[in-house]
Amino acid sequence: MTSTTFPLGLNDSFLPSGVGDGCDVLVGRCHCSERYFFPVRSYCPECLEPMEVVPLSGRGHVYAFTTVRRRAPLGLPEPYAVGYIDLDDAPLRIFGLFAADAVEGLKTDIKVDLRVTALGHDNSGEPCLRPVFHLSGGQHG
Amino acid sequence: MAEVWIGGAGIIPFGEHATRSIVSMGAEAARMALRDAGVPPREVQAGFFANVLAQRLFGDITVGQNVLSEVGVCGLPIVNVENACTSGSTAFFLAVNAIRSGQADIAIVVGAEKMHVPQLGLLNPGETAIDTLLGSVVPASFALRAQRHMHEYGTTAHQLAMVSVKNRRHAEHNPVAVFRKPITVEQVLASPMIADPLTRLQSCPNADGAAALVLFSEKAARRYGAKIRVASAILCTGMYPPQPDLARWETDYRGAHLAYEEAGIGPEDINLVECHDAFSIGEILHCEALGLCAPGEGGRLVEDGVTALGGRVPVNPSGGLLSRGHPLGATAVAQLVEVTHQLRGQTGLRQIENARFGIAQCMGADKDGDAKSCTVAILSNGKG
Repeated sequence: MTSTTFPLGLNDSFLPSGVGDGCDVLVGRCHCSERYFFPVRSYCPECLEPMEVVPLSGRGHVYAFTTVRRRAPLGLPEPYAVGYIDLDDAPLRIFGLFAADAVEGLKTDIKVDLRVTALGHDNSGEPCLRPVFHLSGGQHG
Repeated sequence: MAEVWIGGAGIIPFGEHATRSIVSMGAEAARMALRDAGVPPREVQAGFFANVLAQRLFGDITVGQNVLSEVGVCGLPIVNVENACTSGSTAFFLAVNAIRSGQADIAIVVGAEKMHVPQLGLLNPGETAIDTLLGSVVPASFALRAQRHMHEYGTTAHQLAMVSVKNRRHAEHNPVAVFRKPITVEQVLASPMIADPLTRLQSCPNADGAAALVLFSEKAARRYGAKIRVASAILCTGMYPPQPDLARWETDYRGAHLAYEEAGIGPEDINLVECHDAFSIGEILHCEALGLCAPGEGGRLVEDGVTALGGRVPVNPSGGLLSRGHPLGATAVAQLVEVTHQLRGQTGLRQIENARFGIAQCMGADKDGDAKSCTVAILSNGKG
């Protein structure tokens, strides 16, 4: 999956992990405060020095979720689900898409992991790969 | 701090004005506010114009000069303001500060927006924001807050729907509101689901419209007369924490705290509130942030009728964004116009008796699970 690219604007924030269809989250970390930042940025907004970019596993737990049922943007399917995910590997709560087959099974605190997944279509009508959270099989809660 | 007074207020009916331009609507509201203030246009010393979409939809920029020159307000400092839903209250904040600083004795604030056009499209947190690229749309960001609030506090779908029902009942007697026909909880819940748990009738309608205010210094207030005093005017922005709390909106609480502090009063002194009910859950969150009830109690507050006309502290007596409609740049000025009219006793069948203090609260634009902008103003009828 090394040639995988996401829609423009997402490739600085998500990186296929090279393991199956797994996907890492790229976050910023600055040693001035040990704080993590997402989306990643080049410079720390506190000490203004360059910041380290760290890949984190896309494993986490659902903090909040909703299913959007009308007027899906960006060629996304209708309905589609989005939410906030608490990452396991850093104190970060990030926004993300959920897989189509996860829509009906979403619950607060359920385990999810990020995978490279075809979801919806791009501007030319072709299937579009995106970083998408899936329910982690058999480990609910 | 120097006193600032509201000398004049004007608002045109919100709705679909297919044949009218932003300039035509804004100028009408400005004329109403100037006549209400009894001030000749040449006496105005600073102008602040709020609009969000004119550049994107029509390719127009610096529209404020076009609007204000229509009412003879020329040759003075004019600032065009964009701060999403809080554009109008940000323009108000700037006007208040222009007077407080002594730079002007009379300032005009106009907000105008035209949204009923085919090219409007979807509103989102900004075309290049990462959340937008991952499918965030405005209803989704509020739906996520609603889902989390229900999860943590047991807030119910019925309570969310009650916000829409109450505000529609209030709008029945507001001639500028888009929707004035009463609705039931059943109708709200049966309307199409937009983003779970928010249905269409829990989402504010787009609208065209304009509203305006004329502000006075103490000196101008003595000359022209004014009854409504600005007790505080706060503009603050988000902190964008790494783990945003969707059930307790810190920026909202902070804005409220600063406004009470500047006014030297507390939530128990407030007699009415106009707040940013772009979606039903918004009003519940803002009631909690403004201290009208404890965190988590906002659903019960509306269910118990505390925030209805006739209740302890009516919220959105105008009908709110949910019924009046939400022309982005005009909305926060409209809120201030409603509070002004209420405190002057000019709102007819939706009048709140003996009100001394009223709040206009607004929030604008998502970023990283927070709001980019929050405004809270407290107005007093001068006795307080």
